[in-house]
Amino acid sequence: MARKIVLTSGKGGVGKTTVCANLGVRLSNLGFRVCLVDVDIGLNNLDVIMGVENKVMFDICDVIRAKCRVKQALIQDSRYPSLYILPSAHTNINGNITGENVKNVIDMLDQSFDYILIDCPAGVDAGFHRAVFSANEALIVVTPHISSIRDADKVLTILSSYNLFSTGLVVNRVRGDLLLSGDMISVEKISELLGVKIVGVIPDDDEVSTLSSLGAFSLNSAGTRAFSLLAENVHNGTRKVYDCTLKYKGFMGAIRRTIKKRV
Amino acid sequence: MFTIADIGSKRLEKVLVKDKTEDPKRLAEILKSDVLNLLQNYMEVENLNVNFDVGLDGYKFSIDVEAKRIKVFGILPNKS
Repeated sequence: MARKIVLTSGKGGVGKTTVCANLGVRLSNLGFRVCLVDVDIGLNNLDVIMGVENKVMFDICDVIRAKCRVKQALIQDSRYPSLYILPSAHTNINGNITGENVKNVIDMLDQSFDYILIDCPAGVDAGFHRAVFSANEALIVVTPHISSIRDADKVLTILSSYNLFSTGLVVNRVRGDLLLSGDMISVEKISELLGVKIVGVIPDDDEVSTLSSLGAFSLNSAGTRAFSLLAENVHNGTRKVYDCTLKYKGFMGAIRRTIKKRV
Repeated sequence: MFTIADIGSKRLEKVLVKDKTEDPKRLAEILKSDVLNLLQNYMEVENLNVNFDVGLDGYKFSIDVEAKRIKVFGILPNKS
């Protein structure tokens, strides 16, 4: 039986889809069968982040409308053979799709995968409920900014009415230099304010955002190491998080900080 | 001296607590009516107040009841 994890945030643009894609890649690297499901109907982006936009023949809405079987809609990633993507529709047909419909499709995938990662749309309207309805765990993606954390708190309030097995926090786009200079709210403080345990800390890594434009994934960057730790934490329940400040400590770190500040 | 992170944290704390105070007001009214219905089985309620306190740790609800008299014991349900 698959672990069904929804990646949500409330606020848009915090990196839900990027975290979903990278976590999927890292879990598949650990040898698990992973399916990424895009439930952001009408604003689908998981296919482009994964670089499979040209392979989309059918989408989740076609499966729901019985136009195809679920296996026909799945796209296997050629780089990571145990990683599959179930894309979402590019046109807005939200009104016809219910949480129950999405759950039925996800239940069809249940036996074939170890992990089903559900990419949730931004906001807390029908699309959010549609995505959360099928999940039994949630990862809240936040950035260290007040607006993102406030929205995450509201999402947590709504999630408390769902019977979720666990909820964890992924703090994305953390800048080590700003943490050290006291210009960014620390991840520990965010976790304390929201009352949720930290599962992952992802640094603000240029390589992650650059490669996502190409539909590719870095093999050896700070972001990659942070996503690997996130995948391990998700699977093992450990709490090893990436130290974003490490690069900016010591003599060389002080030089890096100064350069970054001036640039 | 406070850093930007300290000021941001304090501001965020205030915003989160403020957001949390909206729902309990409505909840307190619903609770009051439900608790009143329940208590009326056991006593003649004169005055009932449901108070709440909100912090980042969560909510604290307290109920103050003033009753003129308790109903006859014979009619109270048996302890099971």
